[in-house]
Amino acid sequence: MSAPREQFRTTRRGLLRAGGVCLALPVFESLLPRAARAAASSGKPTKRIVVSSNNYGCYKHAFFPKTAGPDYELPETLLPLEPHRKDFTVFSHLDHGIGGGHKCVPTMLNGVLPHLAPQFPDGNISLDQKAAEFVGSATRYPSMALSVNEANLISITRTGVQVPAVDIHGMYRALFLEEPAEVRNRLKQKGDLHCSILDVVLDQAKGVKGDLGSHDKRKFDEYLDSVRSLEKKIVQQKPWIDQPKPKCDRPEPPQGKGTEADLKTMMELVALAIQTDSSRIFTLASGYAGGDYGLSGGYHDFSHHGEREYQVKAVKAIERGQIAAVAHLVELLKSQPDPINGGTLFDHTMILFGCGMAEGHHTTKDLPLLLAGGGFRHGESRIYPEEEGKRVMAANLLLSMLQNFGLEIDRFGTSTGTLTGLEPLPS
Amino acid sequence: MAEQWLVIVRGKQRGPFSSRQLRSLARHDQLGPGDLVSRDGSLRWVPASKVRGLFGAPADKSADPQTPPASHPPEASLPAADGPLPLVVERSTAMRIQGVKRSWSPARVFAFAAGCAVVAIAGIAALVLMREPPSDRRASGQREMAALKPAAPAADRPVADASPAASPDVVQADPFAEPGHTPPAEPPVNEVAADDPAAGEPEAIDDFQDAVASAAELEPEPDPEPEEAHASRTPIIANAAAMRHVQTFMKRHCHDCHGPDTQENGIRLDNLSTDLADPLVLATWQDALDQINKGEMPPQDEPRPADADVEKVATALGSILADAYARQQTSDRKAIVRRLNRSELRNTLRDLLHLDGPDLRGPAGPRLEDINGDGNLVNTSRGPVREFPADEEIHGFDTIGQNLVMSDFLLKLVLGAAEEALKMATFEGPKPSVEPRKFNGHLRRDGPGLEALARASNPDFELILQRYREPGAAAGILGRVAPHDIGHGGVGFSGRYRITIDVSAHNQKHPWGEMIRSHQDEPMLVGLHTADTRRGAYGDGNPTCRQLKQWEIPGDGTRHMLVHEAWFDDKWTPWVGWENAPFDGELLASRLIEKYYPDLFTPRPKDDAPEKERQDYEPAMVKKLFERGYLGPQLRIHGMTIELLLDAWPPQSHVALYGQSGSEPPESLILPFARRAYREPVTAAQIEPYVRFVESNITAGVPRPDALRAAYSAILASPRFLYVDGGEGRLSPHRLAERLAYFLWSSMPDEELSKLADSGGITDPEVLRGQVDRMLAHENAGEFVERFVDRWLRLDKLGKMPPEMSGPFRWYWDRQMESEMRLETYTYFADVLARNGPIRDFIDSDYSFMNERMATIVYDRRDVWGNGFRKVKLTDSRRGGVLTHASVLTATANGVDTSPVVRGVWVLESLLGTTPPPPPPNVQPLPPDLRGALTIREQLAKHRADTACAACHRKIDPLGFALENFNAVGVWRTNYPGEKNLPVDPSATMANGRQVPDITAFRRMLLEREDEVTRSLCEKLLTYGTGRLMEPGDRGEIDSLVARLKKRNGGLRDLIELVVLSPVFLEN
Repeated sequence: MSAPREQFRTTRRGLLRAGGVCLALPVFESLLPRAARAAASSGKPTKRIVVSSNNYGCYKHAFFPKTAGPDYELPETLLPLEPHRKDFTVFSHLDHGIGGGHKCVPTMLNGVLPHLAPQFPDGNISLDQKAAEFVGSATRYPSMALSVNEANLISITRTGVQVPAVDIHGMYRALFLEEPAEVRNRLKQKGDLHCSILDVVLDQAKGVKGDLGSHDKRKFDEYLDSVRSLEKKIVQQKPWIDQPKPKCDRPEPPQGKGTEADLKTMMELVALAIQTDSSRIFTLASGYAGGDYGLSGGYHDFSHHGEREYQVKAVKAIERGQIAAVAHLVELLKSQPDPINGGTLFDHTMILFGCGMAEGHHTTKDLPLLLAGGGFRHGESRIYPEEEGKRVMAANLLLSMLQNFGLEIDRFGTSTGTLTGLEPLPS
Repeated sequence: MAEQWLVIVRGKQRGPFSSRQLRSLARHDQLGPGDLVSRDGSLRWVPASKVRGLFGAPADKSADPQTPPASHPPEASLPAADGPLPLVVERSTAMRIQGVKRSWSPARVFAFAAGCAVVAIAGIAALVLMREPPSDRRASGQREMAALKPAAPAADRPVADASPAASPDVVQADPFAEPGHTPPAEPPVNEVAADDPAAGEPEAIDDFQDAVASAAELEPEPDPEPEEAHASRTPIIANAAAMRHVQTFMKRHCHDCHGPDTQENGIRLDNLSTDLADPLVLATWQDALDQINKGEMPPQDEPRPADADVEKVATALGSILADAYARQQTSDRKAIVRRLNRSELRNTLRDLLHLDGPDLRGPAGPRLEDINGDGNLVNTSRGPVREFPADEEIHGFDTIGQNLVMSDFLLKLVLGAAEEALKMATFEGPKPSVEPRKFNGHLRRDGPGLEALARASNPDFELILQRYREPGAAAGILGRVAPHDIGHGGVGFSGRYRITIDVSAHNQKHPWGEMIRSHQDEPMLVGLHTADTRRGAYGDGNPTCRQLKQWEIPGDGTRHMLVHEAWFDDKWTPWVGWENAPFDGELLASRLIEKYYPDLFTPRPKDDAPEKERQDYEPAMVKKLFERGYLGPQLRIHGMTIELLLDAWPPQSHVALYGQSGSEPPESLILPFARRAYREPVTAAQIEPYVRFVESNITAGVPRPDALRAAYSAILASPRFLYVDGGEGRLSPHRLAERLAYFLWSSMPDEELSKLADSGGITDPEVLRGQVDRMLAHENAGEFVERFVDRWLRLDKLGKMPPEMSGPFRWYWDRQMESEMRLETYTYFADVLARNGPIRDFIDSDYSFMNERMATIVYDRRDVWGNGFRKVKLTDSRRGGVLTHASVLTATANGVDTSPVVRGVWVLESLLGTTPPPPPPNVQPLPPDLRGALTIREQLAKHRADTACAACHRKIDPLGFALENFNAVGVWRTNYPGEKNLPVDPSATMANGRQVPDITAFRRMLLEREDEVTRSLCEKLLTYGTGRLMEPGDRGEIDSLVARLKKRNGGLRDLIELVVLSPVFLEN
């Protein structure tokens, strides 16, 4: 297929073209869910969140700028973002104030270790799942957890269960592959059947409660909540079963071409998902496959670099690849008009990069965190107090993002407020 | 019950509070209108301003507690209403939160509430101790209290427990205390209190209670409630001697600035309560410890205590607090209802629905495999719970009710699993043939090398001349025999089969030993294996290959009929291998002829010879070889018979769900189903809604089987099925049968247990003993071995941080070592269990179980053959006991490098049963510099130089050093990898000064501590079996079990029996 030439057609059909992968698809206004159109007409912008993470942190000497302010020298790892330096903020000395090495990786988006979850009103729900509750059934997928050569550990539900992630195949199929009518019918029937089963279950279960002790009652309430909540989700998802998916002329993109290529492809799919409003919330974890960036060895081993030359070179290459993928997404979103809000998609998409563990040797102090887009005033290196007692919780950044997303909350996880210095642009 | 409130103040959850306490908080500005509150545990949060009557006029009408009566002593005075909540310090969030870890026992609920309210109003005042009203239970426990709290007349002291002798509320002595250092049993009374100024506090408490009592209430609160709560409140009173030591230190170094005269930062320590059940008191102690640990207090310009003193006091306080934290999680020694975890759910579905199969036993979760070697892991399990996430765990246990949550996500998975399992139990097709399938002569049609070529010369049997290769070495189906079609497509129908192998072994002793190095002194080992043919027939690339059975037969040429029964899924095949066959790379007829029949030998055609000539050469040599006579050792498979064992059609699983005729009334099917699913008697009324559900669906046109399955799904999604409930007090016969079944089988009770429960016979100790024996001999007891060992020795961690494919331990993947490592430890445990072996065998022994892979790779020996695990005498004193199992050593490493800290903690937690306190907050790992000349030992020495770390690491690290000779996958090493190749130094100085030069001496030292290991094992068995964490109150019973075991010189089986007959197990 030859790429359409006229500017008009390009924007009209929403052509995304980059990195050898070309996916063209129409954006039908009618496809936008009513909620989105309503939001658009209400004047409140519809926001998206993309979180790109790894599981081993970043080599700090190549990630954190040496100076604060707008005129900082871009550190080595962040170089791919040079063209967009006005459009992102890099944060120094933010963290969740917890320790535990690898166990902290899944706390990136909540700051709460699982055993402490009961202390928080929302448990250890992650930023994306909290935002997904807000979106509800407005999009086909309230959120999408994605993975490229790595386990995605950062999406966690209200009850502390990790959301399973999909790879490029799964993502493409979820977005564009139309289920045959009989499969759709089966899904609907199954939904109805499950609802009827849950009705009976609920009816029966109510009788049990009387003979339970108080600890047991709490467990039982948890069970009843699960029944009700599942029923609600089935009902919410049902209309989407028959809603046609957006069309995509391109065949399923290949995967297994190395992390760099796969990560780019995944970012393109994310851009398409945003453009078609299939989902507004994405978390992604990416890793390393043997041979990437001409390296040999393993990511985990690299991350225990102990300042050894080869290993340091390796982690820097991998992390730079991850930042390059973020830059790729920024470019894609900047080039696309936002069909819901006007402006570009980038204007209304927050892209967070980082990890819940700071570096491979298990330190969790000074998490690598970087935020682009989404309608904040960017362009600076922000260095927060390093001193014990004055340190700022990384959850404040999460709270700022959730507020920007539209949630009317003033606490999230371990936040003590919104993040000072991160100002929304006047809309 | 009166209302209870939770509040979130400055991002932290507090409570529960009574309405009255909530009002107090609000009145004293400890709760703002914007803070969130939640009522009765609903976790629906609303701003406090929305609570009617909380802010505004009514509060002002009450007496003003800010103005204390004149008689009020100054040190107990209440801070101004707008004073800061003195304990809330934003930075150490994690510890603070841990400090107030919520537990839901009524005792704690009150303690928490009362404590919060008091402190909120009064700051850290001795008042906290005084809130207990007079009670008739107070007389006892005073001795503990007297020495601990600031002076107060004995009459007003709070009460610990009814019997001070066995009081669960006295903190055990410092678990790290060195031998010989025991705190005095009865500390001198009032030693600390003697010069304490807080003498007038009884009045203070009265004032306080008045103040609270007169506060306006949101709603009238029934009076009895606080009384009940008082009665069940259990203060946690710290170990007197240790606490006195701490207080002496603090008096010297802290009270000047945080005492009666000055309260820097609003913190006062001289009269800080020692009732650690009060979370805010606990939090203050934790703060103090953190400050001491970090060296931030006393400040630099004040006189500094000696480092040794700091370390001592940090240790003492650390262990006191660790104990208090542990006891905050108490559930009053009662197991709360708990959800079946994913293994139990899978097993219960299997047994309830009369199913079986390879994915319905063993690990239940996803089986992630890299099928194509491209690094992408695929879930290859076909079990019904394969998509379930790992269950929540605490201290390694995944059977603890508090921690096992339910969610819509999980419930959806449960529904899916139920439907899938019901489908597996449904058989709507025609009856499969039960004619035995007999295969004789040439079973294989393919295969490489000599064995295949020899077929032309041996028409009546399959020959096995060499050993099949294990995973990771591509050699096709060499040395494996299965009927060709079955080997490539499976047995065709899932069910139980009888496999008969017609086999003879020849030439055990033979003259060709120089070329064919076999084990001429050993009988031949014949192995029956199974494999999933969807993963590449039964060749060696197939990772699903598992040995089912192994026989010894003499190599004298006699024919044997070997019979084994096992379940095979439709696509699985059996195959036969020769376990101790020789393997010499290329066994070529031409080489044998050249050596032994040189007159028949012709040289191999040159490479430029015609292709036909080259192709025909080796077969011609084979023909000559067998014509003259093959004198090497060999196994001949003359035939195999594969028989489906089907006693009825449709099978029992189907008939149980749909009936024999298919027209039975639904209730006649649902009632017995529900009886088994609920594991207790069920009435017709209870199942009536399900029956109606079926009937209405059938009326609506749903086919009968579908309608029935929907009702079964509903039963399987119901709480009575999904939760195990211990009830209250002594377990009822049905609860007991259930607890026993989930303990030893991780599944539901079978027919026999159910009958014993119905008759009540199960409560008879003799009957129980008999059942334990029967159950441990049952196939399902394999679940106990695997799951308990996973939890006790933390083998659940295997695979969470495995070595990387592309790293230096690639063989770990290629040779599929994880499952082999597990098997060594499982078979080891199973063996001790089967022969009632002594507990010390876990610490040290001169044997282990291994197969060829484990032997060559881990033990570096070449005298163990084949895939089957066998008991092998160790020849190397460096190994012995579970401590040196590769499974444990790999689970305690991270796949890259090793850490004496992690392994030291493992020794403490798993073997010795003491949990070291967590590191102080904000302590970050030292960034290692691997370029330099530092070994991990030297890096840790740095760590221990830090006073904050020394207290614990002095005890942890030495326990790990001896294991440094084992790398991240449990292989022996003498040097570290890396540029410098630094030598490993396994010697260590224990915390008590004992020198331990190496692993052998280390195990000897552990043997001397056998009692601790037995106690730890006993505690873990009880935890696993009851579904609750053991608490200090259980210690007496555990000690008694250990003593009884020792007295009768008992083994593992005896211990399990003692555990089952113990009140801890029999009661709830």
